[in-house]
Amino acid sequence: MMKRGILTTLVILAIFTPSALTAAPVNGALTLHGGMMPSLGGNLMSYEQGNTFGSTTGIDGINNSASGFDTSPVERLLGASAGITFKTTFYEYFHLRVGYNYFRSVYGGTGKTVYNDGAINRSLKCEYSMWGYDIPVTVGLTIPFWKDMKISFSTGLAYAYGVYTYKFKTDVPSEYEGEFKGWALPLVIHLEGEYFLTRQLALFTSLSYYNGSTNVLADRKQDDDAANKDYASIDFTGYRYNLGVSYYFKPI
Amino acid sequence: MTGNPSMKLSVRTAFILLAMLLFASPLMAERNIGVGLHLGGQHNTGNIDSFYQYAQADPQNSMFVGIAFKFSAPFAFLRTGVDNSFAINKGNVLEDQSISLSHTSEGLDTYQLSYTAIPVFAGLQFPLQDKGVFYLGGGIAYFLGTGEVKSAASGTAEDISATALAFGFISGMQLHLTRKISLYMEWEYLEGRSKPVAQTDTDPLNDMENFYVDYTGHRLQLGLMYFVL
Repeated sequence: MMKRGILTTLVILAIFTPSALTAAPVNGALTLHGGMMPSLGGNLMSYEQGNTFGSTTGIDGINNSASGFDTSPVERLLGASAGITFKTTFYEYFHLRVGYNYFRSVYGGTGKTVYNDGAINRSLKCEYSMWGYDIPVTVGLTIPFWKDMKISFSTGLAYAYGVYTYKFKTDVPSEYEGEFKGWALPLVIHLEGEYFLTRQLALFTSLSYYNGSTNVLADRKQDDDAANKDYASIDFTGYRYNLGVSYYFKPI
Repeated sequence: MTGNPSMKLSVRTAFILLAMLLFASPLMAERNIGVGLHLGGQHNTGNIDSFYQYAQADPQNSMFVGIAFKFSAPFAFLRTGVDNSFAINKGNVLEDQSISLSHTSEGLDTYQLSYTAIPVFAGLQFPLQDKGVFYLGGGIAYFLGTGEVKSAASGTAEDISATALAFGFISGMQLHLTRKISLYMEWEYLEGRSKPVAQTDTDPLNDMENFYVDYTGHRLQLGLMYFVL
């Protein structure tokens, strides 16, 4: 008897909910996306890189070459990201976005270089990496173009958490390891476009710009050969390009 | 329909013709393959701030001429081409603040860079009826640059050449002028640096090559595209 009652309620809800939703001026969409982040973490500068290896511009300045040394360039990190975003649109033209993105470095950050240790040059092997996640919250405007597409622009903030690590190995031999963990609230500017394949399913693309970094953080690894504790901040500033698929809960 | 073979043949032919018409005309209207010629500009070519963050510099400005090839489906595109840059002015390091900040001088006086870039971008595009199209894509570019750097200490100029792989995005808009010709405007951003190619450091103990070419930057371009299909 109770089962029948529940079933009847569910059937009634199933019949009336869509029409009620259609009538409402609010729609929701879920987007799954993946993308790329050029120059993840910026130049990854830390105090030790300047103090010991003579680079005042982090990963950029660590690159040197000299005769008699086998070197390979240490490139800035390229990040890959995967994420999910929930978007609520109000009266078709206004929206609020909340997302979650996981990212990590997938290219660059490793190589061999040379540094000047007093009067002699020494070989230096470098490994940089970074991973993290962020939760952007933005509000903005949407312009629908017929039933074919929407172009949206929004701004806001993100809670961004990152872990930046490096390892330097010299031919002395000595090892320097650093690990920095921290969070920041970078500003976010977001442009996105959706191309509708059906009235509920759309192809998605976006370009975001984040601007912000953590406070200066202390190195969490103390088991290396560095004489001093290292300090660095994690930079979330940069562009992010994404591609994905959006599903709208109600037909547009 | 009792299976008259000649009738079956004519129905099949009609279907094929209809399919050809259906596919061929949208292909023509949607401008699937385009060849463009554009003129562009870049400020701070060589992105000297990344190498020389303590200096006061008058950065190099460049213009470039490029050919673009754009392959479009209704909602996706692939954009490639070749860009050739020319310096408008030399980059000039006016004040080497690194000395006053107790850093070793990077020792750069002037620099000049020109490059050839081969970018490949892919992404989504948004046709706006038959008036134009907006597109946004990510991609990669190969840079081959040549130039000259002049050391502040020696006063001698050194020729350089540097290659690099860069990553970034493109955002653009096309305005259809005729059925075959569109005006297009694009914004490209690419991040990429070469390996060290010259020694500029004034410290006699540092006999290392330290100067790298930074191709990172924003590029804006305007051109005309002719659609061959």
